[in-house]
Amino acid sequence: MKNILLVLKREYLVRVTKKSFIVLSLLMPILIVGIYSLVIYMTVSSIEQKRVSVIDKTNLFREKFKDSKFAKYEFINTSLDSAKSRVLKKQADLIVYIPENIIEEPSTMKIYSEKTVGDVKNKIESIVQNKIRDIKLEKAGIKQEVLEDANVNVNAESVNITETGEEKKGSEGAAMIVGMICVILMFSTVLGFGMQVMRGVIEEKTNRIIEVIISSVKPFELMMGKILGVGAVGLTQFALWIFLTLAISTVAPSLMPRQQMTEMVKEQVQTQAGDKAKVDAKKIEKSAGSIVTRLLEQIKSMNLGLIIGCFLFYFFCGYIFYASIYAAIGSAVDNETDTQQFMFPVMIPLMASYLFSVMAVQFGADSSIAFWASMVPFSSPIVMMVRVTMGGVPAWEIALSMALLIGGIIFMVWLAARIYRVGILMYGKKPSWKEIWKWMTYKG
Amino acid sequence: MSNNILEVHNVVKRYAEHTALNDVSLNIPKGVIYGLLGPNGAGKTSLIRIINQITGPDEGKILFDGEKLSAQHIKQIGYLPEERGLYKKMKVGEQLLYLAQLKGLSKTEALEKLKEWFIKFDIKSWWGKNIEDLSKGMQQKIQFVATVLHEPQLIILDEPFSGFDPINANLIRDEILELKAKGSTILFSTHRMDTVEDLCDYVALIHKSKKVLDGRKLDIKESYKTHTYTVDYKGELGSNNDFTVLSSAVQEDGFMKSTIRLNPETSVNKLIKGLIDVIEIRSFGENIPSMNDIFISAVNEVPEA
Repeated sequence: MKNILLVLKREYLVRVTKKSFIVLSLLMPILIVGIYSLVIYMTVSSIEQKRVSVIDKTNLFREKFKDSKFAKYEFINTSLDSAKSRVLKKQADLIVYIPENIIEEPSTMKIYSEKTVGDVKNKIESIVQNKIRDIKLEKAGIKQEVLEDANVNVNAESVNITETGEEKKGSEGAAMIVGMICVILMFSTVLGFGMQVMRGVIEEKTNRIIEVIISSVKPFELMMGKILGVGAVGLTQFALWIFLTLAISTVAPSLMPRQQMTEMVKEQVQTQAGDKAKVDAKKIEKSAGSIVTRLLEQIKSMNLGLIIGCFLFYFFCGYIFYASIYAAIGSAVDNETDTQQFMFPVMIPLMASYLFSVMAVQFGADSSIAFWASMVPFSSPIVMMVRVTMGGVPAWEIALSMALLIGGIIFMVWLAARIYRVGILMYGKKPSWKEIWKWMTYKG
Repeated sequence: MSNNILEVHNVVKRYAEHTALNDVSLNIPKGVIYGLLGPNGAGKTSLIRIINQITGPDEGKILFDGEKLSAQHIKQIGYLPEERGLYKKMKVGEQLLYLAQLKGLSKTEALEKLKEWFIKFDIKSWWGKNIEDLSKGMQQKIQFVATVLHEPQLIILDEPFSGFDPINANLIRDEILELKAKGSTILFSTHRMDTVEDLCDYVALIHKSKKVLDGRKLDIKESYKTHTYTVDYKGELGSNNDFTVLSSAVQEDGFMKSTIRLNPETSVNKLIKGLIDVIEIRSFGENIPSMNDIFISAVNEVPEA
């Protein structure tokens, strides 16, 4: 036990004091928040007002085109050809041509531009579309008031009923986001830190220090110390990431162009609803903000304690499960290029659990494939984690999955140790699967 | 307590394809330098790994100082493997502290002992350097310190002089003798006969997984004596009742050199008396077989299996 701690301490300190660890720990949160902010900033600031010249042969749409942040409209009465020349002369970015028979044949409308126009085109289309629909409905005898009344916005709140009977606001959107973040984190860290264990084992073998070490400690102690040491590095990295991301993201929003964002959302809501729904600015702002607040509320309504607890448990146990396999692989080979043949079978269950969890998110957390995948130790760390974030997993299932995973770890560590103790002293040729099987069955 | 620091009784080690050790028994007395000899692949490393408890024997038992060899004896053994290495990216000082702690030393004990060695070898400036920045010979020195730092009763050195330049090899040789003087037992495996000749008190020869020969070096030499003598002389020499001339050759300066074998009933003194009358002797000496000769003849005596 004392030896495991000594090995653990060395493995931990060697890695934590490395420059690459410190850089990665600091940079990762900055990178995440930075990229995220950059994307938002770019979208917001890249909106430029387009100059749109409209040739409206019907004269029906004049009051529908209202200047906005996206477009400034100008009505002209010239021929289409001379209008086109305006684009070439840079007097306008877009020409909208609405022919007289637009009501009968909506597809005759044309938009001309020099460059691709993107979003503005959709907006113009929906303006015209709304108007044509209104005209057609009016022709069919439906009155303006009825139309306004019919323009309601349904946005149902999904409410989960828990066993205790209390109502809880559903959290599907947030659950999906949190779930997928967990999957990606789990997948990449189990893989990443597992590989570190493997490299560490290969390093000791190629350095030839292994024989000195195992004349002092048992191979099992060395393997366990290494796995736990690297695991501790992983937990440290998580702690740093969480702490730093939180710290940075509380600071970053104050640097965001809040005013512009609100206007962007307002614009969006207006075009979607058509101007029939007389939405006042306050209402819009409320609904825009409500997307964010609702997401936050949803996250609050999730059982965060359970999720974080489960994440730490499944990360650590899943990591040990796979790291012991990686340790065994590392012991069996002389250099990293020889690992390919053994890596592939390890990747399959990891990839499969990734797919299972995507399926669980898509088709619900209670399908039978999700159930079984969250019980098998190979996939349970990832799949059960997703199910927990989606909520509603019975306690006994979580308990069973954890118990099976712990059992799986004990078996896998035992098996890996049997391969490891033989493998670390073998040099020269790359072993076959058959030989590895023989190592497992050596006695003593 | 026992007079032998290590007793190996009938040890057998089998691998899937071959038997590495076949019924090998050895006794290593306390306070001696014991040479484990044998051609490559004879089973030396297998035996050493078993003594280091890296692997276990399939049959037989091993006693350390009279007790059955077990995990508690790890602290009493220092091991320098033939294929040696250190963590490349670790500082010399940290690395030695780590290895010492694995051998059960506390940090303060280890620091104290390390200080002595660093002063002794005059390597104080290496403490904060990475191993990869040291030359190979320097690394070997560090490794030697790591092997003996915890003052083990039994020190196992596998080919200790390979990779050392003559100056450092001599330094290590002196250290080995000093450790012996302090009461440690040294088991070393080698196929360099000059070091065996120079250092070993006891030897064992392993060949084709079997022990061919073991015992005190002097006793072994005695038993391999052929009762032949070399005479350097002027004059005429022929065989008589006391001896037989095996070979003769004329040297550049006109002196003769002959190898003669003493007949069983004759003593050396009688032989010399007889010789003085016939020839002018420049030198006379017994042919004592070198370890190299013994090694080769013992290996050749083993029938092909």
